[in-house]
Amino acid sequence: MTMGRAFSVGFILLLTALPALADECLNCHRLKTPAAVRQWEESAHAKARVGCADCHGSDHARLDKGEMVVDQKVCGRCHAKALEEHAKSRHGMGLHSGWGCTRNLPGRDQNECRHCHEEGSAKPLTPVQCARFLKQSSEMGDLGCNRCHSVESSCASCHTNHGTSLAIVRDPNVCAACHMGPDHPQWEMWQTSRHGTLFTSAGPALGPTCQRCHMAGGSHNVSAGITMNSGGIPYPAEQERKGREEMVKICTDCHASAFARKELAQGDGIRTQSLTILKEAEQLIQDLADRNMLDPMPEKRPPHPLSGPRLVLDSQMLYEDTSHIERLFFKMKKYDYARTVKGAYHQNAAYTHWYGNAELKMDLIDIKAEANRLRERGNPVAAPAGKTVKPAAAAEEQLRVLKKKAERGELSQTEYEQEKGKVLRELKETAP
Amino acid sequence: MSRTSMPRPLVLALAVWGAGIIAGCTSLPVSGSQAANLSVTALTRVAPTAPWCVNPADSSIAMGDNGLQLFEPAAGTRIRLATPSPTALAWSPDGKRLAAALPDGDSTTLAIFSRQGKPIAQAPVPGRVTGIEWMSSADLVALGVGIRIFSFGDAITATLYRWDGTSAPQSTTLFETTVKPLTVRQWGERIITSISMAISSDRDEMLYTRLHDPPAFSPYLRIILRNLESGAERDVATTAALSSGGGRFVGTGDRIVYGDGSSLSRVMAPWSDKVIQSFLAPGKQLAASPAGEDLLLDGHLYQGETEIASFPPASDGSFAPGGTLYIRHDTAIYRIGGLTEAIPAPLQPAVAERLRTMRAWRSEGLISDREYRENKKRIMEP
Repeated sequence: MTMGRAFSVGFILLLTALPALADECLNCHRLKTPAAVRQWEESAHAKARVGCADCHGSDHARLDKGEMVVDQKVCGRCHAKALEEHAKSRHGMGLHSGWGCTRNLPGRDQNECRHCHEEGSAKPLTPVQCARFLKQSSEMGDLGCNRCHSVESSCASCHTNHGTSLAIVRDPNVCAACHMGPDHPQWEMWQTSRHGTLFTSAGPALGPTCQRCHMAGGSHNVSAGITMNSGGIPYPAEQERKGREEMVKICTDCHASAFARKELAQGDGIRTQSLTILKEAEQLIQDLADRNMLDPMPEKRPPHPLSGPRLVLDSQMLYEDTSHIERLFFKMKKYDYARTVKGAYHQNAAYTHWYGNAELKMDLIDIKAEANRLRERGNPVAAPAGKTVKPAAAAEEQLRVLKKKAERGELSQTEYEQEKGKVLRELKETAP
Repeated sequence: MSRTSMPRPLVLALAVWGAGIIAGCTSLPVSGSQAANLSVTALTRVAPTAPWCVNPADSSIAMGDNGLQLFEPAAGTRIRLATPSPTALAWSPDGKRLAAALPDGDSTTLAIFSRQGKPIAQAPVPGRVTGIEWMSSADLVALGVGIRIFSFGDAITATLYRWDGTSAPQSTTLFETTVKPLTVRQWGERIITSISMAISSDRDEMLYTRLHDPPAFSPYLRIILRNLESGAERDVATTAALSSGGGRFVGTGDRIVYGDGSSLSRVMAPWSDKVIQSFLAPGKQLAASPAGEDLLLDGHLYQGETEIASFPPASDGSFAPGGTLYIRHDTAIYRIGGLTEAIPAPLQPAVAERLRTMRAWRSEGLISDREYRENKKRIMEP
């Protein structure tokens, strides 16, 4: 036998041994996890001879310990383009369901570098952390947060574990698992919009699905065409312009460009108007905090997991361990503002108006009423009950409030100096 | 022959001769354009580097000299108030109380004596006290320096103590730093004494020196202005060497003087960072008259920008209300007469309180320096 023939025979033997390796798993798993095996057998992976060990590895001891997780890196070995698109999208960045947000789960060492850094590197994993996750019990964090946010690292979030049917991931229902509920009911918005009802009555040819607009051309970048962050705050101008062009291009598959631009511009207008309402409420709360009038003040409640004993009204705000007025603001921002704006961009009239805009404006009424109540209650620090506030102490409080407003950019330098001048002139009127 | 009719050079010569007798072998050389107009009177003996201070009410002098001594110039007598030699001394603004920092091993006893030298109160604080000042006639502040020695250098902690003479002193850490072993060997005791303090004429703001000894550079001092009401601080100047005498307030406290320790002293407005005057003096020894008209910089006596007299460079001085200058040279204290300045009328308590509040606001950035000055002017208007 020549050397070449010997190699050929060896190679053929090696190839025939691979199914045997799969068979080795299947022998047991047909009995232990028959559904998983059945799904695999019907999958494109089985047809392409991608066996169990190709994804799971062959170290059974580590498998049993849960150390051989089939995450996006495993899938990316073959599906590089999909992984690259996914990584650019909001699904793949920013949610960061990974280690950084799971460090307080049971069995995890909170001091591990990989919670915050890429493995083997000093590079930070992400600047994003999630305060609301860190407030949860391990059970709630795992089910209530990670079940959706694991989409960052797990392709199975949409594709399922062992099946590869594209019918599953092209159905809008797959999105409904997460994109529903009070804070981001995109699925309900779509379902009851003209797009969604047409899909139900006439099928995908007339009724575009989530995937048709947000994963155009089968892209895994679900964020193409988006012009704001997940909190509804517009992107910087250039990024916003680029996103708009991407979305208009998608819309023009069915609509005239001018129509698409007009519709989206309406959404922009509603977003701007709603942000103004939101900002008014936010400034009311900031002002109360400046005057020590929140009940309780941040320093008198459990510290915020990321910011400590400080007022947090940004995307990291909490719905627990806050004052009542902050809880009202949480609903206003996370639920009603989101419904107004996302409803508008999904062309859903009822969500934009009644679930969103009306609630948003009624929230402002509630917040103003609560603010009035707190003001009438007074500042327990500067003016304890039954004690008169000295003019200088009152002036000092006003100056502190003005300084904080100026630092937040709520007052221009000129306005700041004018307001301070008023306070000092009033103080002058009270004889020293 | 009356004193006024005696020729000035003769008066000066007699004074210098008299000083030599009182202080042992020392005398105070004086030169300069207006030296002849100054009278020099030798008062008493003092240890060369010990603290001393003149009572603003009656010119009695407390000093370190083989313990804590109180000198009565009228009678020419001295009494010893305490055995340890003090590390810092200060008369209260009304001259009725004397505060002293008396070393006691690794700690210091803060003590208050009556005008007559009777002990009134005392309290121990850790470390070495390098400065003591009265915030009012009842409350005082002291600057304590603690050192812990490690193989990699000395860890220095500067603490501000506030004491009312009855309860325990309240402490606030001003800064902590580590000093390299080389710096310790090179500067020794000066590391501690370079951390000094001075209080403003309104007694609600202080200057202190903050020591820095970065790994790749020489040690240096930052001069920090601290409002004692708010605790807010402002970094006002940097000196290149530990030999700087720190900073002093000039006049009503809107100006300060400090030296860089090597060649130049500056008068500046600390809230605007504006340098008003510069003098060719290292500023190792600094004193400013209460109204701010006279400056003594390393023995050079200035009125405005004009040097009017010169004493030995190592002389340290202190001005009394009205402008009288006291100078310690070698082992004697001298009184320099012939300098006068108006004593400002005291403010009404309510006005003083309002200005004090506004200075605290300025320190916290609630109002600007310009707003402080404009409103001060408005408040002071009749």
